[in-house]
Parts: sequence; C-alpha cells; structure tokens
Amino acid sequence: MQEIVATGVAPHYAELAPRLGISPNEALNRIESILAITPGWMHPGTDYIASFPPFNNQPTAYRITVRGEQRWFAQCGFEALACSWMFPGEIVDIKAPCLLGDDSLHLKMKDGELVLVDPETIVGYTRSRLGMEEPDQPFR
Amino acid sequence: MNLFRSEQHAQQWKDWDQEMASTLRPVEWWTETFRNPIFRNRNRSDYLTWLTGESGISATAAFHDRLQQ
Repeated sequence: MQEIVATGVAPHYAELAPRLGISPNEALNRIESILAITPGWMHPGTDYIASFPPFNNQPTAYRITVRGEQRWFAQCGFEALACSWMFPGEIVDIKAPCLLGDDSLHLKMKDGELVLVDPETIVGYTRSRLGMEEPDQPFR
Repeated sequence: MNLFRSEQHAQQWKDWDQEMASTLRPVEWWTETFRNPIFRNRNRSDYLTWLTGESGISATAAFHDRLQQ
C-alpha cells in the first residue's frame, strides 16, 4: 500500500521481494494471499496486480489527484470515496466522466469528508452485489 | 460501482438493473458507508492482522449490515 500511495503504481512481486527480504515466489504467494482476503485482483492470466483497493493499477474512469498530481486511479466510483483515508490531511480530488456523456463529475474529499460535490445531485449505483463473502464476487 | 450525475442519469445507464435499484443512493450515503474502519484502516502496517482479528471481523459485519439497509 505504501508504494501505490507514494507512486500510484503497485509494485511487481519481483520488485517487492528484495524489499521484504524474501524470494520472488514468496512475494507472489503473499500478494495472492492478500488479494484473496481483500477486494483486489490480479490481471487474468498474468502475475500483475490489476487492482489493489482503493486503487487500481490499470487506469479507470476515476482519476485521483493529490497535491496537484494525478497519479492514481480508484478501483471504482465507490472506492474513490475511500481514497482520502490513504492521504491523511490532504485534499483528494476525484474526477470522473459522466457515463451518459454529460458534464463530468467532480468531488473533493479530506479525511473522509466531502468538501465538494459537483453537481450536488451525484448518486452512487451498482448492478453488482457488494461485499466479499463469495470468492467469485469481486468488489467492482 | 459507479457515480452518476443524478438518479435520472443512473436509471438511464445502459447497464441499469431495476433489481439492484436499492443500491441507488446519494453520494453522501456511500461516503458514510466508506467511513467504515475496513476502509479507514487500510494504511495500517498491521492491516491484515487487524482485518482478520476481532475488530476487523466486527467492522466487516457492520459494513454488510449497512448494505442491507
């Protein structure tokens, strides 16, 4: 988490291994174990972390800007609302396009509080079930 | 899990599913939902230990309870 917060990119297991003083295989095993109990996932058929909530390693529509730098992408619209916990005391700027082609959405948050909602009518909706009870029920 | 400009926008989305209409909530409601400690504590160095311990299990249950509201 420290790496993705600092850089916007989740490390590859081979990069993580020497930092933790473990073998690459062990680093991969640990990543897979973590993703099994948190709502993240590897890109199918690869050893690359695709999503490590609240962030996404692959770009999404939910762009996160902190201190003027847009380095991060949220896993989804809901997880975008959890990103500010990763940047204590900072203004976290969330921008996303409108899925129907109208003007984009803009939120600002600080320590879990909304400080800007534009437009004021923004809602959240998912057609997927939320939660982590079933292994085939990704949090997206 | 997307954000929309308004309820009307969400209901006009190509993937709108009336069966999941109960998830259509103001962004303020979802923000409160994501104040749960399972989200707030992700930057703890002992997060996984915390998550799988008594406090984490309790917080996860509270999250699921809120989703049932």
